[in-house]
Amino acid sequence: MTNSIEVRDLKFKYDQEQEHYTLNGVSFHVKQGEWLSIIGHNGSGKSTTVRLIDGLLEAESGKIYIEGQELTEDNVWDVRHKIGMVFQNPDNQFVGATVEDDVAFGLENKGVPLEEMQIRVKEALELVGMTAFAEREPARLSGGQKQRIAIAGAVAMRPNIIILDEATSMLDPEGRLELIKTMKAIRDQYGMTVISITHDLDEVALSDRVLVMKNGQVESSSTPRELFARGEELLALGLDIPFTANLIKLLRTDGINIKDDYLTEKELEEQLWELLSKA
Amino acid sequence: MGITLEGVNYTYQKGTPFEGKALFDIDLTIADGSYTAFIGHTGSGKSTIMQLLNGLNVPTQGTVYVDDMAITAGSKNKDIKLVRKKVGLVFQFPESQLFEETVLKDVAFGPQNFGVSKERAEELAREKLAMVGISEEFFDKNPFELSGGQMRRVAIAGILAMEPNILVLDEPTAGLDPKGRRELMTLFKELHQSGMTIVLVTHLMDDVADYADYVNVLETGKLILSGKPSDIFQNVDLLESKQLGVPKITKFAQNLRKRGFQLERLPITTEEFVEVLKHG
Repeated sequence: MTNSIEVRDLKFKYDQEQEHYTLNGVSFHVKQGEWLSIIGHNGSGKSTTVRLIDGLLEAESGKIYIEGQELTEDNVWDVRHKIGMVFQNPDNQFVGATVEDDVAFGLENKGVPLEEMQIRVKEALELVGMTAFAEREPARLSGGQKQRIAIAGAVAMRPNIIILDEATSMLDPEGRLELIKTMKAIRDQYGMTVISITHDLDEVALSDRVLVMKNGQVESSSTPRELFARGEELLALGLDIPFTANLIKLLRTDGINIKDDYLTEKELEEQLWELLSKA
Repeated sequence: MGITLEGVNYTYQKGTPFEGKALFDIDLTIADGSYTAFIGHTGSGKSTIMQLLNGLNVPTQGTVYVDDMAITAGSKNKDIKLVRKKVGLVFQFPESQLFEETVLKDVAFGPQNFGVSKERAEELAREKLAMVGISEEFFDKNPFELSGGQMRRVAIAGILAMEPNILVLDEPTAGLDPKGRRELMTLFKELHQSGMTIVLVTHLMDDVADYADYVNVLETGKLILSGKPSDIFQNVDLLESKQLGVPKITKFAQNLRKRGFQLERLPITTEEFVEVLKHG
């Protein structure tokens, strides 16, 4: 499989007088069609990294390749067309007077024919469950609804790469899980690559690989399961401890010994039921 | 005392093309000293109710009683001002409302609006900032230089500085990382223990189970259930059909029960579950 994104030894600081680098030698790659979650504490460099990839910031040194092409000052506008970026606070991104105008904005700029545009807007709104709100004012929607619209706007452009920077943080847990599953289906259908910065355990669990960032560096790259087995450390990485890991710990203090440190809810249910039904 | 809603209806943007009815015949009471949660799907009217509790919106029909003050469609601004002093409302993403040039001035702004002297207001601001965990080194900083989580705390301190009896929180931890979320939830718990009435709008059922003593369930502008969390969360199927869900452990216990594990009532906290396993 080819790499969709490759990042080599990025160094970056916001201000020359800054003592430490915000990014200090960041290297990683994302495969074509992969869903990569990036986690880490506030200030670890997650958002800075994706802003460099989208060419919104320029690195002091290091290289970024998007679909094999090196990102430079000259091609940044072309490269950006390949990337759909959704930020945490959608208020800063709304331009349309109605929800559907807003979703259509990017398509209009790109010169997509009217008929095709209408189809894509309708599809995108359906995917994020916001069809009923097509003619509403974006400003009057809730935080979670606004985030859905922002995601619809990005999806409608059919980019090869989607970058979500805490883009579902304002959604309720059920709505978020549903939307992430929808995004995964879109990813499968169009073969998109997804990078998602998140604090959400459910979302991390659904991703192909997790990158942990710490003090401007890549601390580790692992499967979600390997990450979740790290227990209490997860708190320091800006995540919660999975519900099952907490329960396993409490059960152990009561003499119910579950061997593994991390199990999915289904697996723990199996093991516990086996123990309980024998007792 | 506390807050009582009687036959409350609310229509937003009345007389415009965007007009819509958000609340239908709501009757409910928020007991003095309680920790009351409101849950409901997007568009259920939770945020609208919160804005009625402190007079930011007035009911289209019906009455909102805050202690002995009544708010109706015809209430005057002068009367509502007293309500706003008693009921502090923390909006969703309150950090977007910071505006002053220093953290201290921002927090001291609210009380001065209610006639408190500048000196006293700054004293209150220092006290409340300490309470929310913002240390003195930040007092003279521009609020916009702070991190998102810190800005959120400053905004909450600004409401606390008005010394409300009732604190209304509309998804106060939305968008925060897990650590920031836990710290704020602990703060609200301490405020409740010190005697403040807390009203919490949330999507996190585990927070309802862990902190609230009463919960109201809303659906498309109507109150459909209310009671103690331990009772309400017995209705797993109903709550799931409303896309609300239940605490994780409650769902987990229900799955075990479906396999044949004997459980009379579903636990709503992990501790309670382990206790049940131990003593049956």
